[in-house]
Amino acid sequence: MLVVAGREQLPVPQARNGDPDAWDALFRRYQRPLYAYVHELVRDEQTSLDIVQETFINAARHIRGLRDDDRFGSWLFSIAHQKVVQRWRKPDRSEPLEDDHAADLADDAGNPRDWLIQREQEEAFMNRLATLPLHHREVLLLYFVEDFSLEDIAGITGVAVGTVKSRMHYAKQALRKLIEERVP
Amino acid sequence: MKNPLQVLLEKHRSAGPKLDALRHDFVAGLRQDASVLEASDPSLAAVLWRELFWSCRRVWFGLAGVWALILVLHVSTSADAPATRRVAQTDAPRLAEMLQERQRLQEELLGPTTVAAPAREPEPMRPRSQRTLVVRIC
Repeated sequence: MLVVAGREQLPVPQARNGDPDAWDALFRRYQRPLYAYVHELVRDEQTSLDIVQETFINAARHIRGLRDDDRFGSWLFSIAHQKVVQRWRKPDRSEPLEDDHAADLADDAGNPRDWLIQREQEEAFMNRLATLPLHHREVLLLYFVEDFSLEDIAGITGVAVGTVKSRMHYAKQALRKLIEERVP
Repeated sequence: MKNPLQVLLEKHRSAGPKLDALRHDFVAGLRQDASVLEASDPSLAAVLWRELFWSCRRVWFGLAGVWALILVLHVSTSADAPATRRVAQTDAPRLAEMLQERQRLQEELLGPTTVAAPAREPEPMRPRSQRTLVVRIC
């Protein structure tokens, strides 16, 4: 059994050669972040599980088209994102997409792991996250679950880097406000 | 205190066993049938078919329909043309005969209508200053 210690040591070349153990390791590494990302967007357990499964099947079929092994994570999330968008395009989609804001805002990111949430605020945090506009939520989730760069997020969501910056800025403002309201 | 990733993963902890089951099925499928991976390199013809034709098939079918209509119109009009020519060929002698008959009748009623114009002798070449201006008053 292969052990995945970090992003740099992902067994992508072995997976490309069809090694089932490599795929097991990759699936194990990404299944929970991928599921969390998808579920926060589609909000349905069975649909989320279906999308995760379809994502890995598609990844296995098309991995020879992946040029840069270091970008496996963002490539995998971009497949999942496409699957989510396909679901949204179906007639039963109820969540509207909002307009973009102006681009080129400063990236006041920091490290997502540095955001600390008190136990009493966890539920409020998730509720606040769920009320964010869809495009803001998706960039923030990609930032939280995998610490993707703005360029990676732009590649996954298929929008310009400036647009990602803008969405990230407004989404963080909304969440940071909540986190800074410390419980005494 | 937790960071957002920890909060997110904690929220979805209950999906862990289902995700593990999905992973086991997926890996077992790979072990049994490696053709899933072999399908990852489609032929050029398949790529061209998908990207050039299938992605905009409505447009192609529309164009094909228009061309079929043009072809049908062309065939139907060229099928009519020989018949028209045949009719014209059979009517031509009768038309010529009718014209001759009309001309003969006209000559009988009006007499010969064409009078030969008297031939004019060409003037000899002279300098422009020596030419005479002739004005005919009819």
